[in-house]
Amino acid sequence: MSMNKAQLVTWLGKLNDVYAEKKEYLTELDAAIGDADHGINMNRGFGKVMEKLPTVEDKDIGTILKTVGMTLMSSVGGASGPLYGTFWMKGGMLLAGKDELAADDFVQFIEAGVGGILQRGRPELGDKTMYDLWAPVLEAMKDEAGNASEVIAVVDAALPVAEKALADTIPLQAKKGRASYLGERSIGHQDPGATSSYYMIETLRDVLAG
Amino acid sequence: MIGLVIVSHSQTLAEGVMELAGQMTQGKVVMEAAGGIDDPDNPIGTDPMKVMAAIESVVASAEDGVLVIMDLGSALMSAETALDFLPDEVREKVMLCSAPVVEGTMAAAVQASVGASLAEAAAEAGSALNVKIQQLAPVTGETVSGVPTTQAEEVGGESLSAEFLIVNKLGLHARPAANLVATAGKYESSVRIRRNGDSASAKSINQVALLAVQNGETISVTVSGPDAAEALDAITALHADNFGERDEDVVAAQEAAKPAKSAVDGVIAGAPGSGGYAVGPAHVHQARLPEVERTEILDPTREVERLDRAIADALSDIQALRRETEQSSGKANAAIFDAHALILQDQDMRDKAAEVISREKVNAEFVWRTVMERMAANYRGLNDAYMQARAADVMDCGGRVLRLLTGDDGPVLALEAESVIVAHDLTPSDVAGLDADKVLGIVTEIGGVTSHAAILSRSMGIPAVIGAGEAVQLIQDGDTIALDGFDGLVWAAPDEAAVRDLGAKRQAWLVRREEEKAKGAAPATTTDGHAVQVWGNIGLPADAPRVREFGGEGVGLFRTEFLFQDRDEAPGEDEQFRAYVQAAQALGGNPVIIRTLDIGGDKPVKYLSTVQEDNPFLGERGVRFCMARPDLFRIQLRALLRAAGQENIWIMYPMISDTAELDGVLELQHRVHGELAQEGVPVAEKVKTGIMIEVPSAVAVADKLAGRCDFFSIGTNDLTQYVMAADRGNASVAALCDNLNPAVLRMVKMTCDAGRAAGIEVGMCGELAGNAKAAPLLLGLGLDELSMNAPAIPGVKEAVRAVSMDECRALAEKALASDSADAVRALLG
Ligand SMILES: Nc1ncnc2c1ncn2[C@@H]1O[C@H](COP(=O)(O)OP(=O)(O)OP(=O)(O)O)[C@@H](O)[C@H]1O
Ligand SMILES: [Mg+2]
Repeated sequence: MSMNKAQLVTWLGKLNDVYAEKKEYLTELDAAIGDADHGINMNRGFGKVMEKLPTVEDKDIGTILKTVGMTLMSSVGGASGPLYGTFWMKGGMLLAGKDELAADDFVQFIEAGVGGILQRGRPELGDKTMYDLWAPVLEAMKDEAGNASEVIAVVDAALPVAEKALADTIPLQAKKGRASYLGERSIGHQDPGATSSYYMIETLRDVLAG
Repeated sequence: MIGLVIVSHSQTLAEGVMELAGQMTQGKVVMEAAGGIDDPDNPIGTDPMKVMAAIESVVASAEDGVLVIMDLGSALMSAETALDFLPDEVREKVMLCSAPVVEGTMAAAVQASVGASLAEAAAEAGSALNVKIQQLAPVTGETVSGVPTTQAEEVGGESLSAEFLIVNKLGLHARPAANLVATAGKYESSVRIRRNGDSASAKSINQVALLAVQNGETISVTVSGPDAAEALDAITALHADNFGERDEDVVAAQEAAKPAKSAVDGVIAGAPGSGGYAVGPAHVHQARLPEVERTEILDPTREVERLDRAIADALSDIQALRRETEQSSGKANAAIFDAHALILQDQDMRDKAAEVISREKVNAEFVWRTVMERMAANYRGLNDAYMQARAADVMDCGGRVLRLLTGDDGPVLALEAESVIVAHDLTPSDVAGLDADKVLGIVTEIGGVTSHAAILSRSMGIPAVIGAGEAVQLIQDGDTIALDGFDGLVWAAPDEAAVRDLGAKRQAWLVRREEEKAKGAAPATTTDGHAVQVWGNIGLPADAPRVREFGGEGVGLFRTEFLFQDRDEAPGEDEQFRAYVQAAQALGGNPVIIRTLDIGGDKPVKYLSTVQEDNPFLGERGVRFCMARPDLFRIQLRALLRAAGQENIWIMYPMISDTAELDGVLELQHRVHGELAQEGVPVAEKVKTGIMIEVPSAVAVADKLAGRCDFFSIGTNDLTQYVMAADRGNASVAALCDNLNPAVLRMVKMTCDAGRAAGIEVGMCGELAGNAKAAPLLLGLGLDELSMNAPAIPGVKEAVRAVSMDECRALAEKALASDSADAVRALLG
């Protein structure tokens, strides 16, 4: 089964709820190894996305994704602004004119998006960033899509991988972002950006499962 | 003037920094603060849209561009994102600068107010912390790299000064500066030169050059240390000697500084790299520097070691190039490499890079690129055309180090239309995959007739002028240029008459070449039906197609030395295997004789340790060298045997001097063969194996050797030297070294007879084989196969077709009975 526009819009709405609910938690995570703003940043960003969404809801998926990207880019304020902004915009550029996403389309969106994160932040594996979550997730999604499956199957396959990758950021020492200034003291904490990324996957799964 | 944009997480900070900078520049410099985000509750953060707006507003009134200085983290990403959104024409004018935000902005603003370029302002901003570091040095104990503190320079001992008026016409530019640095470097004492307020260490070429002392200016030299008096005496003497410049040198230097003139007026001369004529549009090939990314590293000590190794390797490459260029195109053309070597030997650049690597734990390539670009920008910023041109030298030799560090050899050349390639230099990787049909000709700035560019162009049959010098830089993409590869001349701006003349010469040359190829195509058979094999010699697989083109029916000698030279380590088994297979494939099933590595003290290869021998020609060379290095030899044998399992490849050993030596080599080959078979690697059951006959002792026991191998190939160059005991490189005895000497011919005859008696083939792959006039004689002596450079093939084939075997034998008899080489030459006509 493909993923339709309504599901995309629901996903964004739910994400807004999740980031509102997790605002304190994400900020706490960021307080441990950063500047205590990640929850505030994500909450502000998706709040703005909700404001913009009605103006593009009836446009194609590409336009919606681009709007999400542009909005996050200019409202998040932290490193995750340009990173997530590029993530969604890259997907938007790829999916111009589409009203539905087949499993392949969806995986290409994620691939382009992760490429955007790489281009913008130049993270490497093990740097303790959101990329440490997205890299294995993308691999898992590609593998699953290779079996010509449905979007939900792709996301289902990625979820346990994401969960593990998230936990795996804990022992890492940060090499990028604010946390890198902490050196060894960044070890033992979960990366806030990887956490907010994990919510994206988890929430989508819930939406697709209905 | 340039303008500034300050990006910070905090609008208050960005504005405060702007205020401080404004005080210093009295409002002369356009600046804009892009700080914070639009959220009154949490105003800290960065916004790409704000950065973009700030850049757009500044660029409107700063025609020379915008320097962006950022604080940290997302500020960098926001600035980069902003750049992505800006139109190309704006983006081109923007430079991101890694300087610290407060000090960097101050330095950049001051530079901007005096009209500095983006690169200069960025360079100043980048070293803006130095002032602070120096001031706090007594408290913190830190030192600024590159600018030695007085403390570090004091070596103890007396301190002396003197003033010198600079009378050199171009001031202390490259050569005098280099001589000053070379002289100062010989002494332990510190040597500083001062001109007005500025000073530099006379031991750093970059510092001296950047001081840019002009003709008519006075410098004061201060020397402190244990040998101060001697050092100052030496410098005084150097000054009296015009810093090593003769009057005519001064004039020459001036001309070199204005290459524009010589290029427009006349014809540029270089080395004749490959014969032929060409006229057409220039395709200027800019060597791109490898892309480098900033990555953090764990072990700065190792990283600095990597850098040092790359610099040392680059230096040894440069020295090799210098020697080669000096031999093939003279001292003047080779001088550029001295300048390059000096730049790399300069501790200043190296120390700067090492310091950054250690302090910031960043990868060597990134740091080196930054340091060299900054240095080049400094040169470019000088108000002197000659000095500005030195920026290219920094980029050139610095780029060499960078390529060694990254292993990236730069972009591959691709031509859209037929063109003459104009390049600084061409490497094998530059031409890999190049469509040779589109290359009308090749012009390079550096190199000599044995450089890669020359070898490659010869192997492709493309006219080339190599090492034409700096004047080449003035040729622009698309300019119509002309060249004569026989005489090594380039017309950078040919007039109509020259275009017509060279065009006509090209046509005639092409026709001649086609005729020759046609002559080459048919077999070489004497009038009475005796067929002789006429084959080609090659140095690289890329030469092989040419052998066929000229009608060669096989390769009689593949010199594998080229595969091993000009690199940092020996080619691996697979690389060799591929090269051998590639060459053989080009011959389409015809035999290819591959000679194992023939090097030694006479042809050193830098990664293979060779001992200094008093008499390298009589030393450990050829098979002797390889048998002493079984690890190296084994790899080549494995590659050869594997390749021979797949293609029609014969193996040939050089420098065999007696039966024991041959037995040893054959035993090794047998063992390697067995190993491969055991590993299950496909190898030929039986590989045709032969030897070079080039040592007189081998001729004497040729009957015994013939029983042990499958073919002989006579190397006339070495055989002649050894038979006559005369070094052809030694002018006073070179005349003795004549391969038509009856003594040499008798040796050839003995070899042929021994081969015939044992029933093995005898060929010849030396210079004599390519001499068309000598072909009937060689047939008469009994040779079955002649191998030569591809272009000589058609002529030799023609000569064979004109005679009968009876005539040949009669001629040989007379030659063997002659008294001298000249008498033999007379017989040949
Ligand atoms: N260079 C980078 N590449 C990839 N991800 C990064 C990079 N830098 C930071 N991140 C991710 O961003 C998350 C932090 O996001 P946040 O919105 O809190 O930005 P920030 O650290 O406050 O940015 P800044 O303080 O630099 O403005 C980190 O947990 C990490 O996952
Ligand atoms: Mg943060």
